[in-house]
Amino acid sequence: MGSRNRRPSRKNIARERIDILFYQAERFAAEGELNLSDLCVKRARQIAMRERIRLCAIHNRKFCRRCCRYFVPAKTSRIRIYRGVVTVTCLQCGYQRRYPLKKRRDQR
Amino acid sequence: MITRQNILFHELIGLDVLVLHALNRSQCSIEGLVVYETRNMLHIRTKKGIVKVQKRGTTFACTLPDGSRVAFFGSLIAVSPQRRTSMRITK
Repeated sequence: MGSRNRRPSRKNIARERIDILFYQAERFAAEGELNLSDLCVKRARQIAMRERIRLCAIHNRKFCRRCCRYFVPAKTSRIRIYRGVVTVTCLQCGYQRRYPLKKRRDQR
Repeated sequence: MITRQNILFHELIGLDVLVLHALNRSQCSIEGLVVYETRNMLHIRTKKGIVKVQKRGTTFACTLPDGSRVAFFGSLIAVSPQRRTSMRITK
């Protein structure tokens, strides 16, 4: 048991790193350097996979699942609402992801 | 929070860095923002553009978000960035 709990702060540091990386990605995108923000997103995903952490819903919607493109609405992504479904399209690879506006009956 | 104790395991992107000593003398006293990191290199954005600095054999001084400065050997962080959180440093 000792070896398992030797460094309990490891996952906390990883979570903080992911937060920092998404913050920096936003900053780089605001400066117009989208390539750097893509690299930040890729790094954040690598850390999450390595440390077995789930990305929170806020972070998860900020990039394309297929090509890791950081989403800036109207610049790298298109958002449309139709019949109660939000569709987010990546303008780089065309991947579409749909989110229902209403929750399912069993989740209410 | 990035502190003096966990700087080696934490995120370097977004921190201000000064190169105190480097094997490549022309890279000494480079100062700027860390933009990207690979296993062996730090990409630093300076006034002249993005410069890639080797980690091994280089001494860096980082400015932490609280304003304090920490110096460390680059050889200690010459690990792929996603592995740095879980690496062990042998003394």
